[in-house]
Amino acid sequence: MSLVIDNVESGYDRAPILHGVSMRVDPGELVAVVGSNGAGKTTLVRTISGLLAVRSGDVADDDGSLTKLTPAKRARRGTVMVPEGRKLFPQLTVGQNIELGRRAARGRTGGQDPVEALLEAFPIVKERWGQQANLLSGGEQQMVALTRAVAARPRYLLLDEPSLGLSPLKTLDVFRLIELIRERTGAGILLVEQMADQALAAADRAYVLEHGRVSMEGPAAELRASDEIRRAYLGVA
Amino acid sequence: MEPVILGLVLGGLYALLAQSFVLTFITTKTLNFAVGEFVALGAFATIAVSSWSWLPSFGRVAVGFLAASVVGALAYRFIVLPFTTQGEHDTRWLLSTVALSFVMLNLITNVEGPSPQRSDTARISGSVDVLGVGVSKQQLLLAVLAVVISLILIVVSQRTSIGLVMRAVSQDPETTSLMGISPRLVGMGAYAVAMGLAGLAGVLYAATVGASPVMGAPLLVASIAVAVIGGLGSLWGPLLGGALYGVLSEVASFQYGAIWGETAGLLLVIAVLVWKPEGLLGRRMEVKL
Ligand SMILES: Nc1ncnc2c1ncn2[C@@H]1O[C@H](COP(=O)(O)OP(=O)(O)OP(=O)(O)O)[C@@H](O)[C@H]1O
Ligand SMILES: [Mg+2]
Repeated sequence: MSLVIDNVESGYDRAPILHGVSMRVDPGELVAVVGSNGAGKTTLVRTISGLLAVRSGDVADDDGSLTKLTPAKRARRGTVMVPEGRKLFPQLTVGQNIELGRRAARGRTGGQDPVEALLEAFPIVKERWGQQANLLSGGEQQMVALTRAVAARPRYLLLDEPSLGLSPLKTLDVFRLIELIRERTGAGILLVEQMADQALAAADRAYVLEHGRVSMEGPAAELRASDEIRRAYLGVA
Repeated sequence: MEPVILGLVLGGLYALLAQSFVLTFITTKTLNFAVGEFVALGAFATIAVSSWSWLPSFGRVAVGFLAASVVGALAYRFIVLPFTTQGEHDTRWLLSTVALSFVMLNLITNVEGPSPQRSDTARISGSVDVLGVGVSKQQLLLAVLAVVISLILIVVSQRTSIGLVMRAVSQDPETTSLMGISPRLVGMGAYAVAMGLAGLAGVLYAATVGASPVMGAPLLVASIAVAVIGGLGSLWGPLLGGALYGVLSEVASFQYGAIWGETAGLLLVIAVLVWKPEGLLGRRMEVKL
């Protein structure tokens, strides 16, 4: 029972980007993927969500391989992505964006609505409910994008740089929200981040992606303490 | 007064077809240049079942709508979609729909022959008096239908969950797919409705002029013109565009002779393209839709 990425190769027309990447995310686990610009992090989450085709290898959820499924089918099976740059529907309201997220949860409803819990903890989203999405600040947009993903009742959640373009303070808020999502949904979360320090602090386990290959992996605390990581990603000489 | 009324009524037929361009453009950013042949397809499908006396004429009209609708959905899936896969600048669908137009024209001509056939379904004879101008009931029906259908589409797009999905696809198909919604299915649905409308226009139009394989061709230019004037991104566009185009071309042909009719309409298109390339209502609806 986990999201398994097995020896995956993928990329663009004539540019292979991922060269045999293997990862695993267990339910309830927060797994960080760190790596510098152009390492292939976005390529990785787009491949898992189906926006990019797998060339070889396999991506599978609890029910089996996902590689032949469209992005829509993968989302309905519970592998949900929050894309880089949030990608809210700019001319729809906050509420409409979140309603659209619910579409992916068709057939997997019941129990407590996880969205309610988030709205309670972060009332700002509820306060903006009727507002057009492109009028929100970056931090608010990220909150809405995360709430929209939670409305899809994810079993596995892929987050592509949720801190992108946010102030340190807002980034903190976003990380708190991610913690809450893990707690309330029990989803396995794959968190792609350039903010390596904060991501590693929050995560259980982590992978380091370099030039489309996993160069290191292990418990997040261990990686955070290792010399190599401190030099390369945490700006410590 | 007379050319204004006649122009408004005439604009209705164009508006109905323009609405089918707008529908496919909003959802898939493609236009079906074979729409004229779907007009003929609808008309002939209804003629094909016109001897089924057990089927009320409403049902026969529905057959015309449905035939065009089913073929339209398939056309999107197999002739449009495969030629849109290379990003926003992929315009191969343009050629493939033009090719479809030729193929359908030949197929229909082979089956039905080139000469016009009489169609009696949904014919309403006689005329009514509109502000002192005699208007054929048949044409008035088309105009009223164009308005009613446009209003229905607008309400659906703004008030229903299908409409919400439509607007989402229109803004960002990729992200829509991350919501568990298949943009491909939405596109097929849009084509089904859009080509169904073309078929419906064909049934009603054939009741006045008869059905022939080329019956849609003269409507194509005018309805694209109407769609462009109103704005391809706006469901209100065809109503405004149809009214302007219809009135202008009727007034011009009334004043200066028939050849000036269509010319005036096309000059209007050029003026709009220069002044407001997104169409008169384009920008406003982009925000709303
Ligand atoms: N659409 C594309 N076509 C071709 N090459 C691309 C495309 N998108 C990205 N690439 C290339 O793939 C490589 C990996 O890009 P990717 O976006 O996955 O990196 P990333 O780790 O997410 O970087 P960042 O931290 O800047 O977001 C880069 O070299 C990039 O130039
Ligand atoms: Mg990236």
